[in-house]
Amino acid sequence: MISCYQFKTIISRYIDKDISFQNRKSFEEHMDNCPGCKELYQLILGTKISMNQFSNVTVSDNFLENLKNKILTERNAQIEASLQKGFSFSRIPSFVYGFAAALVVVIIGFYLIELQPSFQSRQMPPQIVQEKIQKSSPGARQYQSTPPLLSQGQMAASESVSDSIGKSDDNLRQSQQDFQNKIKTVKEEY
Amino acid sequence: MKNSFKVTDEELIRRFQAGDEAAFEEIVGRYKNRLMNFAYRFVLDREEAEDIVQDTFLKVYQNRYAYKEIAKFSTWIYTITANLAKTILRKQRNRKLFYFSRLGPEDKDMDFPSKELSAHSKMEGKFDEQTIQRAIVKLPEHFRTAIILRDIQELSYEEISNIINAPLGTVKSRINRARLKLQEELMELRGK
Repeated sequence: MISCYQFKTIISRYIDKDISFQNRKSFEEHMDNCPGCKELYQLILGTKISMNQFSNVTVSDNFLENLKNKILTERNAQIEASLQKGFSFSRIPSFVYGFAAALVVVIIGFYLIELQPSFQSRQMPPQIVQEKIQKSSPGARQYQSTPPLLSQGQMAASESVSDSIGKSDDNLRQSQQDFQNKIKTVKEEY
Repeated sequence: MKNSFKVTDEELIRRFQAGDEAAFEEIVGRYKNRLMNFAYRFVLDREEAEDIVQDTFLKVYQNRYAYKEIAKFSTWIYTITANLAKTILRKQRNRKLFYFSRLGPEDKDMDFPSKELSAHSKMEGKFDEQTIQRAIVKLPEHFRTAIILRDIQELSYEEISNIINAPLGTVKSRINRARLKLQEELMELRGK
């Protein structure tokens, strides 16, 4: 005869009729001699029968309509999501904006630095011109940052300087004229 | 579970896969109440059960091509429902934990009213539906699934084995242990 423990391990198989002939005989034999196990068997069987007779829970009347709406909503959401996959500023990570701003600042900085010498070179005559001027008129002052072509005001200033050193006006004009002519010649050569 | 329809479920899903929307509606008609029953016994909440069933059909609709005819359609759809029900169950459990953690000790003295068994029922070992249902929801998740599928949905051991993805022997022993555990829970409820 089987033990109470063994009885409990095959109780469901007996109820579901999924038991061998030998086991069924042992099971029934034990049940006849063990009131506790017999009661347990009856309780399980009774509960199983009760569960079979549970009232049916059904869906609400508008179930199908709700389901169709749900399917449509999901479909629209999917379409929207796939459209958003194209391009959107909101999808760009914030660090990219910072990086782009830094790049712009660097480019502008480089541009300004590059612009600086060309601006200076417009104010000063080329090196070769400066050298020729110096060679042709040893008395002429070397240009540093002033433009080679003197304006009327500068000419007047140079005249007053000439007066102050005691030279005559004619000589001064002549020398100025010569100087201007030499500059023109050098320019043409250049 | 007997299928008395002329067109099989597998044929219907094949038609649906080919673009026949009417086949999908036929599937919904066949399974909505069966699944509702299953989901309700699982979560014991009508609204949540209906949501589970809706989500099940939504998944079937969206993943229709994922079904391959290597398993029965019923097994596939029950698997989806069972998984969704388990997810809801976990959410319910978390909600309850959160709710109870916010209560004071004096608030915790709340329980469902215990239904007295009639003398006749006590003699026959029968419990009313509500009591059994309350005992079922006290079972661990794997026992609950097994016992609902077997004793309420009346699925075969093989079908349950496919749904819960466990060997046949495991299913048989799990159902046996679930029934014994259910009796323990019922005794406890009777004692209250």
